[in-house]
Amino acid sequence: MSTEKLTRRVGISSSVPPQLTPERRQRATGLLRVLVDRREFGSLVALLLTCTIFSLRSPYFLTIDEFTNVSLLTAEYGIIAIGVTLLMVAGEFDLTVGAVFALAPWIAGSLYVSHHWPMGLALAAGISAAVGIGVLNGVLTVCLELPSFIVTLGMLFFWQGMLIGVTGGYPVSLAGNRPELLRLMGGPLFGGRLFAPVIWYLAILGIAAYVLERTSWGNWIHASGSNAAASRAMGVPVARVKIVGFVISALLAGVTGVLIFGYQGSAAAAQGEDFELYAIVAAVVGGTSLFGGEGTVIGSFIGASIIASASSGLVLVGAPPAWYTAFTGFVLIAAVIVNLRIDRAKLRSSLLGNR
Amino acid sequence: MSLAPPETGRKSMLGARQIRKCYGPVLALDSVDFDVGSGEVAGLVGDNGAGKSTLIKVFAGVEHPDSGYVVFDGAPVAWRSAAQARAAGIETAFQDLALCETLTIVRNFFLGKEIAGSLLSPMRLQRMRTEARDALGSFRLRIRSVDAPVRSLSGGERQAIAIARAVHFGARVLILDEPTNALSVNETDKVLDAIREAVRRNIAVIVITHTLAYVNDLADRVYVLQQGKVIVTVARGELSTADMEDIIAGRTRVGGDVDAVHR
Repeated sequence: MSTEKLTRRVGISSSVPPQLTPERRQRATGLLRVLVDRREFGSLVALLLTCTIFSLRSPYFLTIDEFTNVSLLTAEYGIIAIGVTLLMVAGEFDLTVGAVFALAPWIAGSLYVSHHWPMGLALAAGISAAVGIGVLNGVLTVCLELPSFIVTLGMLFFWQGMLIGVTGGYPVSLAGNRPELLRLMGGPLFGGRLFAPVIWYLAILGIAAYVLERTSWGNWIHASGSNAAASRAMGVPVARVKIVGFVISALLAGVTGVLIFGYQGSAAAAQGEDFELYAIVAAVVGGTSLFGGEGTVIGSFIGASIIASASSGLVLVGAPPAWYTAFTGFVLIAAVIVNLRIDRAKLRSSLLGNR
Repeated sequence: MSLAPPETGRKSMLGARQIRKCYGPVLALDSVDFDVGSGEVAGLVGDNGAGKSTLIKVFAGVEHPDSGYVVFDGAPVAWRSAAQARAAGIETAFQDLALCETLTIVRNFFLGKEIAGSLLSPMRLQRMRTEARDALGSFRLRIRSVDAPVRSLSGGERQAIAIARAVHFGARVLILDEPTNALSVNETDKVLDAIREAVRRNIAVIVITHTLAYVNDLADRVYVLQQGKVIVTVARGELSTADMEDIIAGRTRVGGDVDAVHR
């Protein structure tokens, strides 16, 4: 059947009077249909598969201890991936997050330890630095019309280099003397079965999912990444949407750094290496498009869960640590292939009117 | 040539009066007079570089004339920006720039005008769906689901949706740049149906095109531009498509005396 014949059957045809559409009939297929229709479906299957394999290979995978580990690691990757995903949907990349993740807690820690600032103020200073970097990324990209991939890569190298240069690579440590505020950020809950960053993550995830999928601002994020010129023509402030995106992304990377600071009680200058790449992997595995206009933070949550499960699970089954990186690469490419196939199948079925 | 609107029964909705525009040494528009009334279609034809794009940019507030002025709804205007022209009700739809492919129909339809209390309060998606479905239905576009992504639609359907959207949100003048470019006959019909519906609702429509075959039939008047000048204005059915092609290609000479051609 030619494309044109297909097209004609899409469900829009002229010269037919308006009437109630048979949408209800399609709804009848129910929950399964809704699930399959979501972009994240492929990655959800991948997550279940990963967990099943690890739990078959190791009796320790489905335990509380393991859940504590994996959930904390998921939160660490996941919060960063939220910002990166929002920005990718808006059509831009942020590679600076790895450096911001290290910089924000280091600033807060140094101000607290060496300059005796109150912790609240020190944390605010660290977060402000993160926001400042986000603003700089946004302004350089949007106002100078530079590719964000290059701008944020340059900023990543710059700040990573500066941080190692200034600190000599030494961490800031609180040496067991953790103020209450930091406990709130990263301390243990339920007798150490869960850590606070996980709760923060779920809260931020909920807010981000709501904004991206339910609000006008979310619609503008999608539109800016999908077709910036058309969005501008419809009155969407594309530049503002993108700059805010860079700020949120940097902010969340800084927040993650501070939460992990609260968990560890120390901030290493060299931490966060490759986090920008894992965040992109989490987003892409979760179905976010590299070309903008498509993606969900729920997807990046599933993506982050897969990476975190693998990181911990591979250790449990006795694999050498390097396998983790190899596994991540494999999952990334497999996910892109599967998501593309699902997209094509969906497009075909909607062209045929089967949706 | 008189400054009064050409012989049309209707009041001019959007017009040009002796508009002149230069880009450096190049004279892009030279003493252009133009009018389109509510519920009328004006065609704008001519070869590449004839000045069609410059004229619509002046109408849309993107470019400013060196001399002469735009008349909108009976009064002279000088748009300061494209946004101002848009707010007044002049909507321009470029074929490939109209919609966001990855967004659903309803999200495209309401893009920039979502029904929501504020930027961060929930969109009233049910209301938006109903309203979009009704609006598209009244343009005789029957849609299975307004939740389908725009990329699953054909070119003609996309263009028709862009037209329906502009009309729904109160456009008074609709400027369409090559609305049927690269579309099949069947798809072109969908776009033409949408344009006729807009006309029925008293919208003033300007169609820029290379395709004379349909514009001669669709437009109440066709303005033929050549090197920045309106060389002839043809009322519906006054000239055959072949005659118009000859004029555009320069095979028929048209002087200041337009009537010579009409006879």
